[in-house]
Amino acid sequence: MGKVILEMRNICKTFPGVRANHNVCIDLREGEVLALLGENGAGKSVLMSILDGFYQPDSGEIYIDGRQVRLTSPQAAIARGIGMIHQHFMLIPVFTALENIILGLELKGDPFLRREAYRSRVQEIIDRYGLAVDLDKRVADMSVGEQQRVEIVKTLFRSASILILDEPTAVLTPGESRDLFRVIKQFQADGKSVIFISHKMDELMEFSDRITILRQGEVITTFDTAQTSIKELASTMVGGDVQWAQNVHEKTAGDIRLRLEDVCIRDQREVEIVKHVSLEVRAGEILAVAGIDGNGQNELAEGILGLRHITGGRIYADGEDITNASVKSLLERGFGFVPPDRKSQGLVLDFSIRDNLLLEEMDRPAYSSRGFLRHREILRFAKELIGKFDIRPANPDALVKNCSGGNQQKVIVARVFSRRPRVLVAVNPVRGIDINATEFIHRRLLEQRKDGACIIVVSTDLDEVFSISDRIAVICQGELMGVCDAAAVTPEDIGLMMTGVRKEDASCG
Amino acid sequence: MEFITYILTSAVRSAIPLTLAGLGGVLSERAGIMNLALEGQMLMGAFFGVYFSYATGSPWLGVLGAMLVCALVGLVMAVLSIRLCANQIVVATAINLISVGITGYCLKMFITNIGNGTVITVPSFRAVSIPVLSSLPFLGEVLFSYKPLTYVTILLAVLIHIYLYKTKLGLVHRSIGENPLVADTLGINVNLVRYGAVVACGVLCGISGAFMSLSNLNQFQNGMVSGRGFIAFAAVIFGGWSPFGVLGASVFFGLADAIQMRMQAMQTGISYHLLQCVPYLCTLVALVFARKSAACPASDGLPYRKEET
Amino acid sequence: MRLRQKLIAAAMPALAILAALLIVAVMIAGVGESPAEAYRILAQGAVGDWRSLTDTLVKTVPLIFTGLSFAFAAKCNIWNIGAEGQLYMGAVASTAVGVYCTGLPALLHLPLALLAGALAGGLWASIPAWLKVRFKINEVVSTIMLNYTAILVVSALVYGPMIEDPFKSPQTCKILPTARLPVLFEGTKLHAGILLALLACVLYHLIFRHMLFGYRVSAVGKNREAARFSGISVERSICMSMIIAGVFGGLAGAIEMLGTNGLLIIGFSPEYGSDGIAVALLGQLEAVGIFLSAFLLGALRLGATALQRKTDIPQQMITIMQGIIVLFVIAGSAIGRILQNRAAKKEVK
Repeated sequence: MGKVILEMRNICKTFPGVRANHNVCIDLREGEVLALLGENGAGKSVLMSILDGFYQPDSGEIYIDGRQVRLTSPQAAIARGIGMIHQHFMLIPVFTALENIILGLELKGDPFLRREAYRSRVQEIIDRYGLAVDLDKRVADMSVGEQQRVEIVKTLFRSASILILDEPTAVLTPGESRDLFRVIKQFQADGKSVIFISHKMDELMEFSDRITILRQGEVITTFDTAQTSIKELASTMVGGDVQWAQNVHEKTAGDIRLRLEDVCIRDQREVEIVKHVSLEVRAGEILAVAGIDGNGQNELAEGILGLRHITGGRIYADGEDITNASVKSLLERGFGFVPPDRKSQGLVLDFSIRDNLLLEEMDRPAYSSRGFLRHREILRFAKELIGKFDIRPANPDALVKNCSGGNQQKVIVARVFSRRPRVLVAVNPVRGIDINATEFIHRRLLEQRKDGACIIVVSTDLDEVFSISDRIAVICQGELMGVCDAAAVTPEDIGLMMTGVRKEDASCG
Repeated sequence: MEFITYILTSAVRSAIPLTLAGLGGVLSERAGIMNLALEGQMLMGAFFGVYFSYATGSPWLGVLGAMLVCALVGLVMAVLSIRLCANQIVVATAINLISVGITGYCLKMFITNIGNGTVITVPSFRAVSIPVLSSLPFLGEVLFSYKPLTYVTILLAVLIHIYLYKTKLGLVHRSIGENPLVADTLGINVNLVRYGAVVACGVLCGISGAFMSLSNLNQFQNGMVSGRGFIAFAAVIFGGWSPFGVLGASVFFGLADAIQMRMQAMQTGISYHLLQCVPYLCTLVALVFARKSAACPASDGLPYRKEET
Repeated sequence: MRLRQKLIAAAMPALAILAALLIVAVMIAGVGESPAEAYRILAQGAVGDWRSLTDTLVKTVPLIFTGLSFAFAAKCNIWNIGAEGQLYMGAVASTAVGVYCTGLPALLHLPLALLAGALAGGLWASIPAWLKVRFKINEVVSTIMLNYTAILVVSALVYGPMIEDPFKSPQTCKILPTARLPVLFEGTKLHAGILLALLACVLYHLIFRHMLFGYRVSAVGKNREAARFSGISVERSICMSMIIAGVFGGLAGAIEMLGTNGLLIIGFSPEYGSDGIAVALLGQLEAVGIFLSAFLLGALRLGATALQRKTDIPQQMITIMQGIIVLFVIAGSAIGRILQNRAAKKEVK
């Protein structure tokens, strides 16, 4: 192993309402791949954003080659050879790849933008690492994989020797992921070091040198990859004290409640993002829709809920045609929705917890009559839900924007679940929240199933898919690859289908 | 022929202040600050152009004074909307209100203290006459008969086009209007560029206002901008957030204004009040036809907070 | 903690006013007048005796309505800068009813004239609402374009078909006594419009504190997407609040005609529309706040005319003061938000 080139010591960072990092220490050696493993919200991304100079730590030191440095900006970081590929790509969609790569470079010298002067140097990097990038294509017209390659070229062009990759495979197909691993091997061969953030243990086992595990903002331990196992990683990552929601596959499924027939959805640009999807979901059953982010699953969920126009096919609930019905009428029919983005879609952040809990209940005669709100009943209702769903702070008048992510999600879940929806659609219901809240929400989902709800969970996380679902539908590029019985299929098969292999061709039953 | 010449020249005269303010709007919005304070800043420019022209005896120094005052107003807008992340529409509205107050107050003081209660004339611009070219038939009048700021405006449009599309800083500037976070991760000082853009917008509005008072009217009247700042804002949208687009949109609005004014003079029997509505209604119609989503900077109007500090 | 935050929120407008008074004091000293004396004259002219107090209240009435107009739309996160145009439309409609509908009893004529004003304002506001919902046109631009249009259209009417005597100054005939708002106290100008304004404030408070409709509008105002996801029709909320804002604006004009002016003269409004923006922002979009700040700004306006009469200070000084107040209120709430976040951050540590 090479010498230690980077050290972070006792890093602390808090945000309003969240303690993101607490006394975190990590070190990185020359030419190694260090993996950062942890649940969502464990503080990995924040730690790396500090290393990238994007955030300033509240306390703690950073050493490069033994000398203490202050990374006051991403520019300072890249000047020290540290470059980060963010989870959400830092690219301007309306610019070309080349423009994105040279954006902000050499502002002090020649004021004019001479794109051609850079082209050959950029092309050199592209060729060296075999990164397929069309420099004159607008980023908006690129696939996610190509966008990621643009990001990598951009970072390499700024002569990074330490690369930070934040969950790079979350948006990639397995084939693209393998290409990425090959590129990373090439970096290692060139003596570059890589920090790789992930929560997919199998891929870390495959190509990392060491694995550092974070939990709730603190470093738990660091393993040599060769001397550990997935099992050990998993228990360390999660912490021994968590009880997983046990999915007992009770046969509770009843009649078909929701039926999708040949459903198609086009987006604003008239591109078909959901293609001829047909599904049946029964009462008392959880159907998981698995797929890599951005393959049309969110749009499908919104389409079912009347939030997006269905451009083809029909949707039936209890045999009645509900295609393109209004959101309001569907809510009245007993539909419930946990939307993908809680802050922008699920909550009114400037409202109190009470007012957020009321959002879908306001029309009930119990809470409003003749246009007037019944404050006393509303308060009782809010207090009840806060208690039942363990929402903190327990003050109904606290503003939701001051709650932690997990409690914000609990507000949504409380609002939706308390209505005992007959049809429930939840999109990534536990994304970005801590493990206890995750477990809590999963348990509630299973309760809803027991009560006979017809549930669709859209998830990108296979662990989640397998821990709660009865059947799994896999979607890829807007097309349904197949529906499998969760008990009779392996994660590998589902993973294969997520990349576009049809069920008939995968080996599952 | 004389009719067409008249319409074209007066369209250009109406279009220039719109273009200048619109160019400011392009700079500001391309950096992500939705600037609805063009109106107020133009009004300030119009007054202080006259004031400094009177005080110094030179219309050029008058324009310079207007630029400085409006740069200051732009700075206020910038601090509130960038540093304090206040709602940009509310800030702009407040600036428009306060501009009416300041110019009204200063005009009153100016007239009572200096003019002894009468309207005073101030040194203003005269048309440049370019030998040969100005005496060409038709073209001479339509293209080469204007006052100097008109040509300065065209030059500014070209310069701002070059800046936005042909320089490194221009690329950075546009990236901030699209997604300031991206620029920030590349180590660009997002707020510095935004400050620069908003202050530059103020400067351009200052020239625009000074053009109206020193080049078109030769005096300042209360409320003389009468909505042109908002028409310029519309020209930015109609012109697709590009300098030449703004120029074109301004000429279009200028034409509407010129035709309307000509019809007033022709005594068509239509109430001149109704004719005066034409530029405002044209603006609304133009906005209906402008395809907003196409070129609008994605982060226009959104404050940028890296982390709450 | 929460109580302290509430106190800070309440103290802020007061601080903004204080700061503006100080700055203007410096300006007054700058032109060689005594600030103390100037403020004394100002206060005397605004609330010094029964007559000036009632005159101030008369000035307060349209400011309350234009303030409510801006505030109602702002609750829905849309920016109605169009109260001025809505006011003109309301004024001309109510004047038309007041002048031309003859032979009606007061019990019918007055409500009809008020209704005409409210409807005209609402209709005028429905144009920017439609443009916003249908074509996504920025409502600030459209309402301002419509302000100029409204004033010109009303001018065309008053110079044209509605003129009393083409050879005299442009004004309409007098509104019939049956359509006039009664004067409340003999010997003053204070008319029943102030009661209507109070009623409007109460209604506004009721809507946003106790009614489903207000809750919906606030939800749309604070997060359009989340409101849509909860089954609220965003478009309808936007249209409704804009139209209600227009109704308030229209009533401002109608009451000014039927109560204060008695006939329509061109240029009757000293920018009540933009003053309403200051009123609403200073009043923090709350009914009580709007009432108080309308009274304050009305008093300043009236006091300023006394000031101009007795000193060399132009009454435009008050417009500057108003602008400074608004700027400080904006800056204050922004700083308040930043401080709150800092406090939240400390709590975690």
